Amino acid sequence: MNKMFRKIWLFCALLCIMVLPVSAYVEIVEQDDSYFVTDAAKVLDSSTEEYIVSKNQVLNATAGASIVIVTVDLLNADIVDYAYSIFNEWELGDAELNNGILLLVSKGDQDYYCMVGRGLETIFPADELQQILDDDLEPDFASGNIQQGIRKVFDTLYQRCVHLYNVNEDAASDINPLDQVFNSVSTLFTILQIALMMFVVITVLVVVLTTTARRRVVHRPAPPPPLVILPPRRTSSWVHHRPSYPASHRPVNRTVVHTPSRSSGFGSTAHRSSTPRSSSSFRPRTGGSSRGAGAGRRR
Amino acid sequence: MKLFRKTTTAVLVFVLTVILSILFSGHMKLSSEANQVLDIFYEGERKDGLSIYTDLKDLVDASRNIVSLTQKFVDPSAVELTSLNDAISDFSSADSPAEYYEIYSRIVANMDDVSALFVIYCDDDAAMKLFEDSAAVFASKMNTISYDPYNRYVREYNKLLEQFPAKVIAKLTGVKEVSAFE
Repeated sequence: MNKMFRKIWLFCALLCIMVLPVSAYVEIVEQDDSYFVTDAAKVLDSSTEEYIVSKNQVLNATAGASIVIVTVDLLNADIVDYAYSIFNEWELGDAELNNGILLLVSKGDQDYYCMVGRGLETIFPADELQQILDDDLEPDFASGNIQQGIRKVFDTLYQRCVHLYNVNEDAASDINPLDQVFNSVSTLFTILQIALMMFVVITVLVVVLTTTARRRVVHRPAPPPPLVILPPRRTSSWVHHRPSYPASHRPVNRTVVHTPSRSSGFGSTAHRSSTPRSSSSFRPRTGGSSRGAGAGRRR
Repeated sequence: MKLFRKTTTAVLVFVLTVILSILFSGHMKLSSEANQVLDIFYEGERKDGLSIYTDLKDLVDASRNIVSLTQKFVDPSAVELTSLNDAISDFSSADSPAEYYEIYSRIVANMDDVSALFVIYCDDDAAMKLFEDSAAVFASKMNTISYDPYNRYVREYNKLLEQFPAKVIAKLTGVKEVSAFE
């Protein structure tokens, strides 16, 4: 019986594997923590990376746009498919504006492709993108200086976006409004969370304690004896006998409510993040998508 | 009203009414969904105008530019040019995704030949630059068309029509499958 069961199970497992749909899944490079630069092919030095990241932070904070640079050694798929997969899996650009731009460079394949989000298809039509790539990237790319070519293309695209979204670089470079927004939002959220927790705790305590108080044995005074109407005695007057209670035996309300101590650790309401402002704390706006519009290296 | 005094008749009328209601509402629902799928072809998945139809129009415009440029250097009666011109002319008379796809396939197939002719015979840098720009637009639109989700919606809708009870309602009320762009 066990053997039969095992055979059936094995057959079902094989059947499931065989009928699983085979999708054209493109395995893409893992996204770098900086979000805006993924230099898997190691063609960019640290100063260029920092430059690209800092400019992107300004642009992303202001308009949600991103100009993401990805370099790889070799592609395992068509460059357009690869770029499409990166763009839509990483959700480049703002979710509503769809204003992401991706520059994918494959060092080993000697190829590159620039893809734009849905919202930039009319701003950066294919012929304009091709012009930018031909003028800024191709000469340096062909001569082997990929970093310089990427830097030039990035600068051109960045300036176009700055002009498009009226980005005030001087004002935006000193402050990072996205950090401040997140700090104030996270502080407010923390306060609300703490208030809600306190409310729940107090409510539970009150309910529990009042219930406990009701269940305690309360010394109630003995019920008064029933009124007894005695038959008339030989004396001439009726007597109603009802005892009186001394004040010490009257019931006392013993309900007690305990208030939480102020030193419970919830007192800090002006909590600000003490982490230094660095690229790792920057949270870019994402959610964008692309339909595949773009331009690549002329063959 | 005498008709409804008999229980059997009343029940029959009631059942008939229910069946007709189901058929009518089913037909309306299926037709509405078919129109929604077709709207994706013409207006885009998000109704933002970024659709296969608008991409095709841009692609046809780029093709016209390439044909105009090529005719300056190559005999306009060349087979490659006339085939591409015919495909471009037929674009305005197409009225279903399947017909648009057939025209699109002809344009793409002939574009390679025309481009080869242009590259061989063109001796003007400015014209070459214009050709490359148009070719870039053409290639970009081919990409966006290939990634458009319209065909996925068509497959889902046609799959729905194959299932019961949509299959029965579709056959009885004349609802047909939506043509895919392939």
